[in-house]
Amino acid sequence: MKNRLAQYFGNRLSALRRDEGFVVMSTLAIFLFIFILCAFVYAVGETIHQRIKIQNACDAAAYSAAVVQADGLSRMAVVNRAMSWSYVQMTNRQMDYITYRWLKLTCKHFQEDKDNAEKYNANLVLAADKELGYWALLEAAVSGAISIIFDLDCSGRNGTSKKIVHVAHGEEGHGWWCGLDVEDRKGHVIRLNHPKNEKFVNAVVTSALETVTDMLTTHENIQKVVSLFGFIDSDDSPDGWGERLGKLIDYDKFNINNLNNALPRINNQMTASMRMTAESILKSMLVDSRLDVSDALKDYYISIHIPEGVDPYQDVEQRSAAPKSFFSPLHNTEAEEMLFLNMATAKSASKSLPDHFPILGPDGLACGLDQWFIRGKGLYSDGEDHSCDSHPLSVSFAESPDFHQATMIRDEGMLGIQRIYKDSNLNENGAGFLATERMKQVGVHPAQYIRHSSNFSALPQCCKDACERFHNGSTNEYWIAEHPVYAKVPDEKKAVWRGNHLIDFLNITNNLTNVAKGFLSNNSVSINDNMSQKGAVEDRLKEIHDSQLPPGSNDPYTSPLDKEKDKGTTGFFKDEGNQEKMNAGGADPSLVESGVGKIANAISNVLGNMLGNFLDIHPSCENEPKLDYAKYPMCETIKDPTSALYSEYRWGSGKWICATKGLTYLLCLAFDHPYIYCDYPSGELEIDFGLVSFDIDVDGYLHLGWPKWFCGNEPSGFHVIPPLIPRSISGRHGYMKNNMTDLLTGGFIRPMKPLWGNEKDRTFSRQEYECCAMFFDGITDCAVPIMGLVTWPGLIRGHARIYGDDKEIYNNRYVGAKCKPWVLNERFFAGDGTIVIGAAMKHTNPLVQLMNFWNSNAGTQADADTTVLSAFNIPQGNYMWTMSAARAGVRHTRRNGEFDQERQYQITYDSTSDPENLLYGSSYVFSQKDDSGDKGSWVHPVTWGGTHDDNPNSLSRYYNPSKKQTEVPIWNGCPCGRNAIQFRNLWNLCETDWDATLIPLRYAGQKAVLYTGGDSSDEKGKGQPFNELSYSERSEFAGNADNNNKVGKGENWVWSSPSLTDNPFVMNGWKPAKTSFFADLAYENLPGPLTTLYSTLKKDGLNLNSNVPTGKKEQTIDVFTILKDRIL
Amino acid sequence: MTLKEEHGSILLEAVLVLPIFVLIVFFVIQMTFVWTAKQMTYYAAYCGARAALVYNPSDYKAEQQDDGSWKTNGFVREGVVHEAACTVLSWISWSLAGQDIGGLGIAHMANDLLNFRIGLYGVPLSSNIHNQVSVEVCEFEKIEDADAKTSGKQEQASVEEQFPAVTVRVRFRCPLFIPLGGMVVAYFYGARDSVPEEMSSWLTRDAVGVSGFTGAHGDIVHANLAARGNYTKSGNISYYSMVLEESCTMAKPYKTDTYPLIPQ
Repeated sequence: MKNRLAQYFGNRLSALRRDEGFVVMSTLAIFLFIFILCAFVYAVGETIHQRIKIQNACDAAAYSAAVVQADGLSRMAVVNRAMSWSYVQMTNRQMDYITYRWLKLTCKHFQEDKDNAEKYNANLVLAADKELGYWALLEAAVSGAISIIFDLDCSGRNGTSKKIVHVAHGEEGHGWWCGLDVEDRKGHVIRLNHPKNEKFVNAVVTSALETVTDMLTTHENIQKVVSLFGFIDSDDSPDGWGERLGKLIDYDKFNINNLNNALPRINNQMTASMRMTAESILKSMLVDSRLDVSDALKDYYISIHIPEGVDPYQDVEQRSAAPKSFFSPLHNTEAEEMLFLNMATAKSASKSLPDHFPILGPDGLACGLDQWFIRGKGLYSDGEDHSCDSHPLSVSFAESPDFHQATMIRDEGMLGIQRIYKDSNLNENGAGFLATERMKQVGVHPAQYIRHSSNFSALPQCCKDACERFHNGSTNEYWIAEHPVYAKVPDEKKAVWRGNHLIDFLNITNNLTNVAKGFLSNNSVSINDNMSQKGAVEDRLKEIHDSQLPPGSNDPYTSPLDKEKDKGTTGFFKDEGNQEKMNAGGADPSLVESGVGKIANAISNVLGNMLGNFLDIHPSCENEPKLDYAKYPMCETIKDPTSALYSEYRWGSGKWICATKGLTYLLCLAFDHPYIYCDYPSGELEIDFGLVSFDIDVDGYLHLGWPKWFCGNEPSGFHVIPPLIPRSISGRHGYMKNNMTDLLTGGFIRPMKPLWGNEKDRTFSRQEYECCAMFFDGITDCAVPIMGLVTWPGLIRGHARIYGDDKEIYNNRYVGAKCKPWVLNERFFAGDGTIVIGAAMKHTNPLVQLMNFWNSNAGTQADADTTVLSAFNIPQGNYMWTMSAARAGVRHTRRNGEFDQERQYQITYDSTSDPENLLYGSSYVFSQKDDSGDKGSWVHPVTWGGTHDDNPNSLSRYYNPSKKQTEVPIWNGCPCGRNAIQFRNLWNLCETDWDATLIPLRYAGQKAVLYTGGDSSDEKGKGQPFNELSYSERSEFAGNADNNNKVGKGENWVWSSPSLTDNPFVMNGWKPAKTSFFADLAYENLPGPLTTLYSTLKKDGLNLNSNVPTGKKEQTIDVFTILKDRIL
Repeated sequence: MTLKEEHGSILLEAVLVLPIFVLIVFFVIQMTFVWTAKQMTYYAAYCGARAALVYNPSDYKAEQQDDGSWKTNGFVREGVVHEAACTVLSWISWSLAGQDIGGLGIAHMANDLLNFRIGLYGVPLSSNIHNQVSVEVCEFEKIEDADAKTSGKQEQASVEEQFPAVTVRVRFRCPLFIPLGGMVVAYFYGARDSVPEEMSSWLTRDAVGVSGFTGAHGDIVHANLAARGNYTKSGNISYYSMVLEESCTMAKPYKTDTYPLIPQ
């Protein structure tokens, strides 16, 4: 044996010496070694190549799906915007439509009132020629006013009288009373004696015709409004404006409903498209073209997580509840409504509500449907433009103990039709509908100068408020400017009555009657002819009488003439002898003695008697709550001022009394005033007299109850006045001061316009009328002792308000379509909206095993992750894997009112853009590192407060955490101040520029949003998600913000990356790639974002289990735990 | 005995060739690692570029330029992109930082605490990785207007002319730790007459000379070749090294705005 061994080794040694095969062996050994090295290099390169391949595939798939997502979100944003636009448009149209229907209703009422007033006034016609029935005087929004003509000695005047009295043109088409045709006078006309005035008269006629035509239709401003609608049509008219508008509203509602349905469709399509896109991209990029396609995917496993949003309106929960999905509904709050409305704007800056609804009033801050209203655009006189277009129909309803009428001032802005919707804050002279204290202007304190403080102290508060001190703050001298006086409206007067405020006409009649009696007793003027003529007053009286008869009654009509005769009252209706005297043209001395007062009294007495016999004249609708509304519908009282709508118009009904020539003559004789033209040189009683108007207003001007044109607050007189009256005294029209001096010097009768001079001056065009109403106007007391006049009542006038709510003229177009925009909440940016794509590939290159040469110490979970390629190796096994996350980001177009940087897309949550955070404004919390030693958590900045406007009267409502207000934070309705941030940073779906972004994987792993950051000692446990807090709890945390903006009891709000124990999301296991494409689409939906990826990578049972040397049990690898802090 | 007897000639030749052969083998081995490191560096650039894709530029210490592009203004050793590159290259770091812990005066290779950490796991021999890796990030660089240069125009390229991509350049100081082979590689590839400025501080500090390599630029050469790390147990040990530079460009047609900013 030993010999053999010795022999063997000797042979070997000798072989060495012989050098046999040494080179080959060494060469082989060396090359083997080199080959291994090269293989190593190759393996590294191959692995890197494959790693990049699947990484690119995942990135491409995630990014492509995010592109689809961004496209879908952009579409949703467009739909939201379109919805907002449609909503605003629909609401505006609804406003118009409702207004239109109310306008119709108002005009209908107006027409009824007018007809009734016509009938009411019809009885005053005492004389007319047979061609005239009754006359409707020129009026504005009025019923017919009737002229009472005395001395209707038109007949026999042919060619003799050159005077023309201005008479209104009846709407029945009758010409001027007695005709203005000089050649065909019917008598009863006192004409101007100046030939050139014919043109004037014609102009008057023409303009009067126009005025009547216009005004008899409606109030001027009503007409304006009506004209905007084109025409008032019936609802049944298919071509009518109203119906066309109604159809537009229907279309708007239809569009909104379609838009509502479009959003969930877009969402569903978006989700499906995202999934298909991701799958197809993965397939195309993982497949190696060199391989058999059928087997190309056998070495791959994929995992696709596509976020799916839920229709937020399917189950709208309470506002404070946590949203189920990353879509939230828009709640029915002011804050979110404003947000929604701002979606409609294309402006980069925030848009205020008036921008949406420019018809808002001056406050411009009305928010919410309930406060939208249409405020009539008041037409105000600038003092220079006297056209009716610029003047409102301003009726002065002086409130006094006698008349109890409301005063509506010119600048109220309530003109024509005004529609107030719901509980508007509109104040009428300071009294809103729901005002607890309602004030109305009751008068105007004149300016005065107080010299003693004692006098000042005795003044009412309104005067004190309007005072100024003179002489460097002297306490003794005060100048108090003219200022309005308000009085509280008693509760019982809050109910606004509709209709006619009848004036105490009896006063007129009482006073006039006496005068008239006296006058007429000696100078009877017969109008008997007129009374007896068909179609004249007589017939009208009979008609009224018969209409008032109880059913079955048979009380024959008795002519008032007969009654007067029975009473033994002389006067107008008898004594034709006087008429003959008048016709003869001679002066009646008795006229001189009677005086104007007597004349007036006489007239009024007759009128009063007549009226009293045939009409139930009430001083005021208000004072007669027991009025028969059937008889006087204009006096209907609407008790409920809180109704949704009201519209109003103003109207008046004047009684026009035309003085007889006798009266005129009387005036001439009585005063021998140079302003009264008494032309009787030839002995003929040629008297220029037309309508004489006197006014008494608060300034103490004398008013007689003569009709005149009434314009503005100032009873203006349109008088056909003898041309010798050259001027207007004190710029007022038709005024005469109540003192003898003024009577003598100031002018007794003043024209509105000079009647001579250039033609323009004499043109009483409609523009010149300065308003469109003719009334009596007697207001307050005025004692005119010499005339024996004490009180001149006002006129029959009123303004009707039609109250009620939409139900009165309701139809389904009043109800708009509900908008359901979709809004993103914080969950989208917190991870729920993230697309996560994972892919794993088996190492097919055996040389890759060479990569597993570096092992560290055993015993730790990550031991298996210790190869040189461990950065992308699934622990244990031959698989390499990776993940990508992507999500759509939004590019703001509103931040700071400017466009964001190009291609700059926001991918994280911004609470300032959270519509729910609008409630609290937004606050900022700075980041800090927590105590766990973690890198530090970044916290979401939140700022609080609105505009910090301390004005309690403003609409600013805010929550001031520094003051620890306990009130519920409410939103600042103003798009101003800090709340402008919200409107600048609207990331919810009104921004149409979304684009795909790749995001760090950790962003996909964050559970919904913010945690309060509390620790285990926190009474709420380990902190709570922000979105699970109620609003009071949110406010509490926000209220604890200190100067460092830490909230939540000193803790910062932090993003939370849940651990396995906190968030055991269901594993979305790996699926074999080959079998997954287009075959198995049943991926489970994760209950939340993909935070943990438990892999059960199996290819015929492959498990991802760690091979823990120290332990024998298998444990599931939490891949995310490994991955979550990695950058990749 | 005659000259015709060739016994032992191969052995003799082998012995004569052996040093050269060993040198070549070591050189090959070293080059293997270098090539591996080069590929890893490219992959690190790829990972860095991908990190730049998903993160906001401010997160990788980039600064916005006047033309709207983002640049790191030079190679930096901070930020997310740098961290991504270090994650990849930590496995081939094979160098130690010169820090002492615990006052022991020892930078022990088994000192796991200083190593680059991936999760809870520290990659062995990677404590110096942050000094070995520097990155430069360029995002949305302006396209140079060649015509403007020639014509002398001063117009700036608009935003639309910015190239929507991110380019990451990674420089990795690869240690050449194979004996002899490292020296050979370092001599031919590692030495530089000029050293990038940002790297000079790494090199001059604790630099030690390498015997046998002297010359007019001996100091510089020594500085270049000296690695920062060293063992102190048995005195200073020098590592030869060479700088590998790779870049990767990836398309990035978007910019991200993280709100609020993520703290570092």
